[in-house]
Amino acid sequence: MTVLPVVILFIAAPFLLAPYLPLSFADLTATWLVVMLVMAAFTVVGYRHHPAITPRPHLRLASRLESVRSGNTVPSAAPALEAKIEAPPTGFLGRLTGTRMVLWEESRKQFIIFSVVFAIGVAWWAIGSQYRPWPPLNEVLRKMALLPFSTPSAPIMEPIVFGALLILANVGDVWMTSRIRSLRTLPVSSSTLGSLTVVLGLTSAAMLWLVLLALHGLVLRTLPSSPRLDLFMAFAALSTTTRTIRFVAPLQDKAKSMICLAPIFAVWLAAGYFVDSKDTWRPGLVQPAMLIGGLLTLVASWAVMRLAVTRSSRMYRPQPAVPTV
Amino acid sequence: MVPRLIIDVVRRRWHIGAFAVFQLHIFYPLVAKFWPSSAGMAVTMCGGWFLSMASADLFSLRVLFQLPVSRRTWWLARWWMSVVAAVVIAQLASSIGQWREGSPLFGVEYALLSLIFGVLYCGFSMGIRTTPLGKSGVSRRRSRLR
Repeated sequence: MTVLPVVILFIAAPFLLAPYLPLSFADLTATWLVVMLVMAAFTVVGYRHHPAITPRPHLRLASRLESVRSGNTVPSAAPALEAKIEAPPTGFLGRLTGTRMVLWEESRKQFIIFSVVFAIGVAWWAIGSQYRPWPPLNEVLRKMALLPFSTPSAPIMEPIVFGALLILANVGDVWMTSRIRSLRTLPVSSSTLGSLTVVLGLTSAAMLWLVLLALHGLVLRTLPSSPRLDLFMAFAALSTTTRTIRFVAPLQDKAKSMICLAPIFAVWLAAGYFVDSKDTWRPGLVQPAMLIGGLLTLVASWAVMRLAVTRSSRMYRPQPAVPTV
Repeated sequence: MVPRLIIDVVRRRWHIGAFAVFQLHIFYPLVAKFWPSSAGMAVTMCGGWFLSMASADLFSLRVLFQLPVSRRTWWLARWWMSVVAAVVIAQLASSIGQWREGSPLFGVEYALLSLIFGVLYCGFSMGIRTTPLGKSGVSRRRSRLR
């Protein structure tokens, strides 16, 4: 999770620097040439990199190779290393099993991601406003549609910002919620498993609402004037759909990670049709669409997932043996 | 050997690249509409970097590691895919978006400038990955796989 700020920084940096980027070769100032030289130096360092000889990923030979490398030239004579087994959690976490364990892991992950994203944003504003005449924090957050409880109508930035939040929420995969074969080891019925994606989507939206409520209270110091159920439902539905695609699509993990983002891009594409000829946003049309479309998508995702875990013969077909090393 | 590895991965995963062009090409008009100042090079840099991250596991298939290929060769193949191929895909999508929108940015000079900046940005990122900060993330992911 410590890598997350670096990931966000690399995604955000081009957009934050966009107004200063050169438009032609004639715009390349001395500052940009220095920046390009620094980047070129790192590029050369990366190209000339010689990876260290370590165990290949997936080969599970770390312990033996480490002992050979430490001076013992005969692998079979290497002393047996102590198994590195993490101590099992105790207390509340140790008692969690089945669906509750998955929900806890996922809620914690989502809460940390959303908190870190907003903390970085607020810190960026706090630092930047020292050097530039930026508007107050509540104005910035309102323009970025991050104070949804302060107004009952949806601003134009909402689909873009919340879509981006959904992409960020998919950045860190919890081991249990990335593939259905892991979930099948849980002591839960097929019905519960079929409903899991819907519950996870609602959990993700709930965590975002918690963080947004805290932000609203800290910045505006007022009670929320609108619960924005339509936005909650749309976010939960999109989150559920991405998870359902990830579980059900018969592709490799990396391809699934890309394909599962397709609904977000579809929403961004559709958002363009809700802007009329005068470039005016039509929240009166958007918000019912978000609420009803969200509910329908939740039901459809639940049906697809349930069909996959109860009817699909692919799930019960014998899996190919994993070659041992 | 590096060109062979690259050709092989392109042959096996070309559809992912095509889908990435499609996704980014959808993304471009929205950025141009809501955030005009960032439509152009920022999309190429950000999209290229995102694809660069996504291409990290292109050569991590177990069957590929049976080949008698050095780690340096694997790294070079990955570098070309993560730095050059990713940026070319992002720039292709960006150029299609600019052409469809009738943007004044559409042209050879701006495309070339965007490609250079994109390659430097992704190359910078790959350089960072060889530092202790980048390695810490990789080792944590691998330890979870064991």
